[in-house]
Amino acid sequence: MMTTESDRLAGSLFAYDGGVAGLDSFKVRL
Amino acid sequence: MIERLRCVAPIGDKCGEAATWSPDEQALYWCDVNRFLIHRMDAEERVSSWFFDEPVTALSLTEDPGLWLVALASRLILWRPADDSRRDHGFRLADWPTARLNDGRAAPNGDLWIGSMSNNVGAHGEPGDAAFGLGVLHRIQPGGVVTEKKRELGISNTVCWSPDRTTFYFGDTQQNTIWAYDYDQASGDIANERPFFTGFVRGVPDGSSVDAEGRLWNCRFDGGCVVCVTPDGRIDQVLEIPARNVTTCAFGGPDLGPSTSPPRP
Repeated sequence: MMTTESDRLAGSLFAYDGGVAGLDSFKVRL
Repeated sequence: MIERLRCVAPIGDKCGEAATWSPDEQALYWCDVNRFLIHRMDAEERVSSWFFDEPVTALSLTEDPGLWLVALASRLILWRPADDSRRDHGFRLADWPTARLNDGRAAPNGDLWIGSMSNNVGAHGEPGDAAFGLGVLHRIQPGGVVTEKKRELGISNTVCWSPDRTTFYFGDTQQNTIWAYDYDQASGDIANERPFFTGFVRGVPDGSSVDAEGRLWNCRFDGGCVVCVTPDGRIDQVLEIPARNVTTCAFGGPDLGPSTSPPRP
């Protein structure tokens, strides 16, 4: 199956894992 | 792992926002501003939804596992999805109902930074127009100390930090501008505002997330894409999205990506 440009770009976005998710996971102190 | 871009939750949101990944639950949470909803999708792509009494505009994890801070249009609440318990946080927006809360996130030191905007949502979720100038960027510290950091804004969108936690990014949709600031983690304050990404021709800036390389991924409302901007402000790439109004993005599981809202009438 041919890999399209949009596949490549989507892959570059979604290939990131937990280390990056941590950036969105700062927590509010109560 | 390379995955194709695909829609995982065709649930008819009017304005999906606030995509937030829960590492503990391995689940994605997000809201629909105009339908007053919070959604949760698990690893099996099962979606649960909760209804609130006002538009939901922002979400954040808290230091209490399972307890979320939720921004409603007029106020902040603390919400536990496990038993759907809800209680007021204490912060109320002084300008409500002329203005409402909008995008916000927790800072590296645990403060909440959240912006406001002209209230463009009717009592039953009807969309309206947003006037310029009513938006304010708030810093809310534990204990309830509130500081207004920027005023005379249009639509506050994009609240995020660089991986080294030294740069804060904040944007105004109506000014088509995202600013960068020096962020001091010790004091939790910002300084040295400068334009970071302004005037991009595809749509206007909505929410953003920053990746491990410090690149800011900005969703373009009315622009059908997510634009990736390097820390020095250059466009790295443009991710085409098969939706006109791209509103929020978060990094999480391999299939979890930006959410969208339908085109404006």
